[in-house]
Amino acid sequence: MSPIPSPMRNSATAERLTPRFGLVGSLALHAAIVAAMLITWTHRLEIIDQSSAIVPVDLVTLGEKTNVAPMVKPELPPLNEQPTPPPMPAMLQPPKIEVAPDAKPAPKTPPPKPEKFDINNIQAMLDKRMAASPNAKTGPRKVTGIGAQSAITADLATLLFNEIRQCWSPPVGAPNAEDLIVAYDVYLNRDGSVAQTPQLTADSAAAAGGNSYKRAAADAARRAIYACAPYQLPADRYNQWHAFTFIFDPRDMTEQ
Amino acid sequence: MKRFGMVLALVSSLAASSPALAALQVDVNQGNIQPLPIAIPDFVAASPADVAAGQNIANVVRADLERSGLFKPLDPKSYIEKVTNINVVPNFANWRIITAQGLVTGTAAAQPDGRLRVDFRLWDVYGESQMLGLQYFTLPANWRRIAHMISDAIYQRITGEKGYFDTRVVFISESGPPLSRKKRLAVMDEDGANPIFLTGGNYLVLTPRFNPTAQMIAYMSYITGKPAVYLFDLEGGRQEKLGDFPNMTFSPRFSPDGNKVVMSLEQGGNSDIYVMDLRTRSAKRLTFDPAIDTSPSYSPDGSQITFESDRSGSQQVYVMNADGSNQHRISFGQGRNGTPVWSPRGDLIAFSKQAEGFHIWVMRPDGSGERALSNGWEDEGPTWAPNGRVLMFTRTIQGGRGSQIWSVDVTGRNERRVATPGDASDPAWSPLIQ
Repeated sequence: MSPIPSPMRNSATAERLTPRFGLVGSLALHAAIVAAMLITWTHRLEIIDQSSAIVPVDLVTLGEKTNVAPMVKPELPPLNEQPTPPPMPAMLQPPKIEVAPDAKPAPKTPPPKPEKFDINNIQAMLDKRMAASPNAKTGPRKVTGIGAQSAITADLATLLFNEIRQCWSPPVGAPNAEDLIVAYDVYLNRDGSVAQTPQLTADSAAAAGGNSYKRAAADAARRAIYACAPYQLPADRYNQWHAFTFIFDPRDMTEQ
Repeated sequence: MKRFGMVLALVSSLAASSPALAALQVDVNQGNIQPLPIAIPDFVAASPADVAAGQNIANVVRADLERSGLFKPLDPKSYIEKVTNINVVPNFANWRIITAQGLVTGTAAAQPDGRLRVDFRLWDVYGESQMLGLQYFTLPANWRRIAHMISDAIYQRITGEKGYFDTRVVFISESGPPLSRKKRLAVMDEDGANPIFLTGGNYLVLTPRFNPTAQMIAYMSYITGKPAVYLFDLEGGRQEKLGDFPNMTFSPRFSPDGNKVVMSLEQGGNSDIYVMDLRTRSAKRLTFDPAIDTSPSYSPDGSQITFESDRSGSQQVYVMNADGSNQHRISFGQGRNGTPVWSPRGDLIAFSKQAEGFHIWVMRPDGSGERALSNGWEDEGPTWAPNGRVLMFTRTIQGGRGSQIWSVDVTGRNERRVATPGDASDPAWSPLIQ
């Protein structure tokens, strides 16, 4: 009769043992996973670190710009350049837009978007109206908390990247691509059209005056910003994307 | 655990450092390389007599810019607005609708003194501003050069790079059956217009090269039966043997200041590189190796010379100082590498590589960054446009079906055939015409 109980006892001990092994095993596995995550985390951190190496330079200027600038209409494009045609007969000043009523800007003002009326949208729009002053906008961000904020706008950055990459023809073939990085502060209307002439950030503006390659790179980036409009972005989050900075970096695109 | 702690610390320090990141920022590191859509209506004619000039100039500008691969001139049939006065700001909306990002308006007007006056303006359609405005006076017969100059000005304003349309190409025109091939020295505009034969084809000519003023060509000729380097004066049409060497001289090339010619001199099966001062006609030997040293080419500042040598056992690219010191090999990639040419921009050396076929490659002057530009059956003998952005080379067609001249952008894009009268080889690009 002993054969029977003994297996039972055995199985009982086995039952008792298995969970313990399972526990140990799972602990080990968890430890392994944690270890693995540590490895990946360090790696990712390095990447983040790299990109932030570029970021701070423009950030400072961006901060200054957004605080001051938001929706001020700039005087129309200063014709920085009419040096060449000396004896040209009465040249009309480009800024006089007598005939050009702006194909893009025309449909831009609030009216066109009313189709998207859902509760959240209205809410967002109302919020937006309330916080119309430029200084008010920066407030909520600080309250939300930094980590959360960057996570929230990360998807917007991806959306914008996926649009602008189609429109930007980078200055490939020019020497010293690392000198041709330009950053623009961009202001959009609710319908995704360009609200005002994109402004080179202070650093980029200083660099663009440097030589003809840099000026050409700055011009190409500005054309891309216009060519891609209107941008397709979630209307209810207009407050997150109405102003942002594009940093055009041709280094990965050049063969040099 | 220690490590985990460290990572946590990093994460939190990152979080702490990100307040500045609060504003939305998009790092655009990828693009879509595409030519710039540009509208170039026929230039406005000041009088009915100027209509042809206005059309011709616009045609050449459109063709120049299209050929560069960096512009897409839009079909004039798609234009909504008719330009009648270039001194009025265009209605930019009408040009945006047809996707133009650049607009060129111009006029052609015959002057009472018989000259032709050509004005043009380049407009930024999105920025709604003028980017450039220039005016030229010329003899009506020179309208084509004016068109090329306008193309150069537009190209430079948009790309930041000097243009290369107002240039010429000297090359070897080939005709006749393979066994008795007639090779003539010929020169034409960069776009293939105005081809002129400089020699008659009774003797063999090879490797022509322009001097920096584009007025003189150095080349190798068999005119006396024994191959030697000659100079051809394009103005006067005279040719002259360069130096009185007992042996064969070949592979000449001017120094950037035009005062010297560097070339190879053969002696008893050994070729070495010599430099001859054109003012004093004195020659100086630069290489002393028992191997074959040839195909010298100056760096744009004149301080260094790249050349090919088989001193290592196979043909490879070398660099030395202009006085012959510090000779060192720079090509270590696979295959044999020869006919190096220093870019006028200074940043690259183009060369012919023989490895699984013959192709045009470029590398930096230190030998790094080797990459292929062309991909034909047999591509050889690169020559740079004066802006260092485009190259021409000889492409031999598979099966002995002749040779052609092709061009390619330094990015490896926009490979296309150059128009030549018949078969052609050995192109050399002139500097910008002065």
